[in-house]
Amino acid sequence: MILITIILFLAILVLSGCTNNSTYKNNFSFTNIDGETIELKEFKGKIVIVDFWYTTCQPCQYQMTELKKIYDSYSRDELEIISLNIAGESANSINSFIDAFDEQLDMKLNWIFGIDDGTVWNEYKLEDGGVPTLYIFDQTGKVHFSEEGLSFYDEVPDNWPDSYGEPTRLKPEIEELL
Amino acid sequence: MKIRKIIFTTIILIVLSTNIVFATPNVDVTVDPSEPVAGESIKVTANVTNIDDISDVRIIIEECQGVNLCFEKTNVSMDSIANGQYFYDFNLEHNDATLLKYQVEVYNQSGIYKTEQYQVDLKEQTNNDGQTNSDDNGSPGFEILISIIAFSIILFLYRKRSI
Repeated sequence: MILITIILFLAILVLSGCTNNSTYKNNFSFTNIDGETIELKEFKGKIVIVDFWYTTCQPCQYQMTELKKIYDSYSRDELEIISLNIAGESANSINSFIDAFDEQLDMKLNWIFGIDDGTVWNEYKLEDGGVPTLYIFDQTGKVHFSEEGLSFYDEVPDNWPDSYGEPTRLKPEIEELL
Repeated sequence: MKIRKIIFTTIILIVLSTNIVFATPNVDVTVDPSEPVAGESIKVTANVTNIDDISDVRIIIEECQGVNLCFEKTNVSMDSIANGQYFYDFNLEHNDATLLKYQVEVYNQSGIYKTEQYQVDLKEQTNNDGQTNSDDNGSPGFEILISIIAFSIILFLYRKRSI
């Protein structure tokens, strides 16, 4: 009886270790601006916001200011942000973009920036393939939210055009997962 | 006097050679029509001067929907149509875009010369009646109704004559 219990206990231990990564619902890999390969499943247990963008897209530039609000509102154990460039722009261009935010707006875009070779964007782009496109993956890698177009963390500017419809707020979506 | 002449000539030669070596690259870009319409075609012409040994001239086109989003960029080679003149005929892809942005890049062995990024507002598409596609004026079937009324009157008068 004791032997059976021990065997069962060990089996449970082994199986839980084997399925640790396979329970992550979605996975993809990309190269960050330092040239390292990163996989989404590395962030298992955290909320991950994936932001598809490119440097000359002005709505994407504004989106960065909203992502900064999010990044500063949650701990790194709770949430991570990945901004994936979809236009084949170089690491140098992206670094210049980040530096410009620091110098001109005193805003440090200090989350993960990566470059997609088209593989991830082809799988995740929505509707007409506009950017910014945001995804929120929950702690198990399941897609919790996706939206094409500018989204706000919480407050919406007064001059948001009515013609764009109800603005998207991300705070309730994030809070739902915590 | 001779020395002055030599110095003067030398200065002139230096100035001339400076202008020749460091002539400023220039790319003039025009878009036709100057007030492009969303979803319709545009013709982009780039006149390139003072850049030698050009290997490629590329146009990067972005269509955006105001402050809300931008669509995927198009980055294509322009066709050489004359010495220093390049051309591209492009069909704008998004009927709901409101802003067109474009930039030209010229490649040679020295590197890449990039123009600034230009932007122009896009006019809304119109249908043949001059109404925009977002309009809903007019009554569908109005012409049919008139035709039915006219035919009914003609039929009534014909029968009256027959009686």
